Amino acid sequence: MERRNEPVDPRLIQPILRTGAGYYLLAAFLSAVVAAGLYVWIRQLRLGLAVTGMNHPVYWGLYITNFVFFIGISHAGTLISAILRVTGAEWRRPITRAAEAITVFALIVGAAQVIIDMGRPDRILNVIAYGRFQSPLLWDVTSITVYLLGSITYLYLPLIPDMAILRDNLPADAPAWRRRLYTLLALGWHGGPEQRRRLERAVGVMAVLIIPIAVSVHTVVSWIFAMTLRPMWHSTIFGPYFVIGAIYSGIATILIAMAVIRKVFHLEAYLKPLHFRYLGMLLITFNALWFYFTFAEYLTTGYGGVPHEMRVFNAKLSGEYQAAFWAMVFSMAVAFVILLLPHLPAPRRVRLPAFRPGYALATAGTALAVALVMVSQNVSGATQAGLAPSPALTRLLTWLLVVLLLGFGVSVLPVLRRNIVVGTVIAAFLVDLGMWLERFTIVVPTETRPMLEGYTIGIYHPTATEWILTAASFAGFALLYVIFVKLFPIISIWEVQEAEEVIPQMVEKVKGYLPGV
Amino acid sequence: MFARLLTEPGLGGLIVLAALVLCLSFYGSLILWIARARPTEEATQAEGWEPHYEHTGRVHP
Repeated sequence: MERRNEPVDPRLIQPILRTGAGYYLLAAFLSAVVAAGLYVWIRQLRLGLAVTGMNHPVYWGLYITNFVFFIGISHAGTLISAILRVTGAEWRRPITRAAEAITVFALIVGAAQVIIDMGRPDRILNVIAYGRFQSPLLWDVTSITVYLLGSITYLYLPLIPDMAILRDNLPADAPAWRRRLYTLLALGWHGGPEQRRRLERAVGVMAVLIIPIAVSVHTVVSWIFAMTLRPMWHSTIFGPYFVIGAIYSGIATILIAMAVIRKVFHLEAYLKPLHFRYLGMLLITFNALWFYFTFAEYLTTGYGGVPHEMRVFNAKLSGEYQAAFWAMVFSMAVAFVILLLPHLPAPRRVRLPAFRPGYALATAGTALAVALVMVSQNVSGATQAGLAPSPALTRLLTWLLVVLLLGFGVSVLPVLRRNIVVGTVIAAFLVDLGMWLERFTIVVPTETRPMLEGYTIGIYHPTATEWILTAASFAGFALLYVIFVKLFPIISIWEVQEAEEVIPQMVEKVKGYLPGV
Repeated sequence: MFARLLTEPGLGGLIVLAALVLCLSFYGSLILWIARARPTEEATQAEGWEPHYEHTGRVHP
């Protein structure tokens, strides 16, 4: 059946055709951050990796942390678009494109981290010329290449009918380059039954294929660590642990993207609280899984008590990496509580406090100030001067921070209970923060304590170059997304239109498993 | 032989290239398969139907 004459909701096309000042400001800001990153990267190429904090024995630092993090969040598209499509979850329709776009851009930025990490990026060609397939790095290159190409295809295939819709519905005053772009990408789409059948079949095949590819990608990324003999890396649990963590951070990222798109483009009619509720439930599930795997990993290591493993274990739990480790645990725990709140019944005897913005701001601001003081005490100045922060002062500040954060939590409790969108997005931010810290606590502490005894403990302090490149990577990811949203409809128009045709089938499906119907 | 396959320098790179070519071929063929689907006779004769240019520049009959 031809679709050309079906009316298209203008809300779905307005973001492409209308550009406000806010968009240009955002794009300019992100471009500036990316440009700063480019500058420091070129400087790093000229001066060498000595401008970073990496040194023997800590050869991997923030760049590889970012690599693992971005490859992780690329699982957003696989989960939302592929797994939910295969399982017939119809509520996924408005969010598939946003998720698929996250996958592609996260993979691009993630792969770029490896280039950034190399002092001589031209040597990447040695992978082709001299690569040996016994190396997990080669497995990684293969799986990420396959996944990137598959994700681009999986993003493009469902885009074809929307390209045709745009081709046919552009206003007369639209720029000629847009018309040419959409005509090219539409591939002559006419919406005939055979063509639609082929598209459905192709998307179905890709959905089934992309799932094992995605699982293999993050499993192989984990094997880069697990196939070594290093303490707290050489673990059989790493494969599933990384995959669970990847899907977990992917869901969190899609929640953040959805919230921004919903707010900025006024798409409340399409991105409903129901979507945040369902994704929030998935987030709770993966939070619990993540805690289970983390507990299993640390319990096994701690119970075994192998000396070279315990050196790393202690560094994470009570040594110089305890801040990152416990901040990770705290973020995930708070995220779990926030996600659970809307599902808990209201207490009968205790009256919940009303939301007071002033109190919330005061506690949040003070907590931030305390956190900054604590971080500055542990950064290069104090350490280089040989002045370690006083343990008593550190303990006092830690408890003060905990009390302030609890106070902040209590003050925003009513908002989190009532407004599922706000609560879920705050939890998503905490999850992404926690997952980044998790990647950091996996990568760096092990390197500081080599397996062989007698080596001095390594020290790693990321430099400004690394922090700027980290910021530029996040800005680059956001910029790619911002450009995508301006060129293509972020909500899949044809899939949402098709949902109406699917309603009778869904009714029949539900009737099919009800007794006596 | 299998050990040789895994450890020979350069063979790993060939495997990566082979995977790249296989993927491009498969995904490309999927896209072309969709693009080549013809509209039905009734659709082309329907009132208001207009031909559209394919990516090759040829008009649908």
